[in-house]
Amino acid sequence: MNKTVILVDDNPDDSLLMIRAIKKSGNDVNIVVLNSGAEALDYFFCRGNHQDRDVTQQSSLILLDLKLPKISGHDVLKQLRSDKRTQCLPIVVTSTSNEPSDVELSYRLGANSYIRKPVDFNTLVVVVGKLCEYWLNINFPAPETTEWTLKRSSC
Amino acid sequence: MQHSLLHGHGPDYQKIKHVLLVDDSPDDIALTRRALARAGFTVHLEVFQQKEAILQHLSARQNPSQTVPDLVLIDLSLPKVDGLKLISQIREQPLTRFLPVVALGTSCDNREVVSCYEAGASSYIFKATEFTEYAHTLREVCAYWLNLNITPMGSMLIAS
Repeated sequence: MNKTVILVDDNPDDSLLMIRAIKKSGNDVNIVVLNSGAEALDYFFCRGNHQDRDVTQQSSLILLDLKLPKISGHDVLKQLRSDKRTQCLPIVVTSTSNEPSDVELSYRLGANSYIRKPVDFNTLVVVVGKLCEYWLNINFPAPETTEWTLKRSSC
Repeated sequence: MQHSLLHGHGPDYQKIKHVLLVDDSPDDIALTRRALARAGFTVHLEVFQQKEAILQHLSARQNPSQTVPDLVLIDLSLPKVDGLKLISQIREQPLTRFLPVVALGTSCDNREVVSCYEAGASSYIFKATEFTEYAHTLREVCAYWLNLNITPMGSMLIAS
């Protein structure tokens, strides 16, 4: 089964670039694009439009943009980390921001890692390739918990 | 070329990286040194075998910019060091709470992996016994955490 990369980004152009970069870097993965903080939370907590999603399809890597409308990337991070079912998900903040305050808050809220997204596409391909290589092939993510199975059976 | 392209996407702000290794096996420590050298990384490797020594080192305030490492690698199989507790304690200290902390496990037991993340590990890696595989893993770990990942300290240096 292919691994799954979750992309949380509200900008369709940026999402497309990321998808192209992931594919060009040679990583054969499933890519799920979530266009807002609200949709991301619905996805991870299996509610709304995502209440019937396949919870056995584990997220091997979550690439989280910070600048999302209404519910920001930091808000998403905070909520995911505050729930036992999602607190161990591998979350990498990918942002064009170099602001030390953005970086620090990301770590404070529980991001595993922070990567600055390059504006140049060729550099983006290299960066994304290294990102995916590490989180998909080197890192061991926390396995799917039984919490989700219990949650689904109670719906 | 790729290193400079990836390194914070800007100029090398810190040429020599500091890696802190928690391990008590002389053979494994030597292997780590060889693997780092083979990977082409110029790092200052500090080795600790006891929890108290590492926590004292990390809490030293004489010269914070020197004592804070860029990466902490913790071998979870040490009999005298509770790796999970050490990870938690590193996360509790203001000076070290945002450090990249990579757990090196040999079992990949699900409970151990989950416990590591719950304690605050940034990442969990399988520590291979075969040298070539271990060297490859270590190269990827260093390439990611030393060259690609941005820490709060690193972002302040880039911004300045």
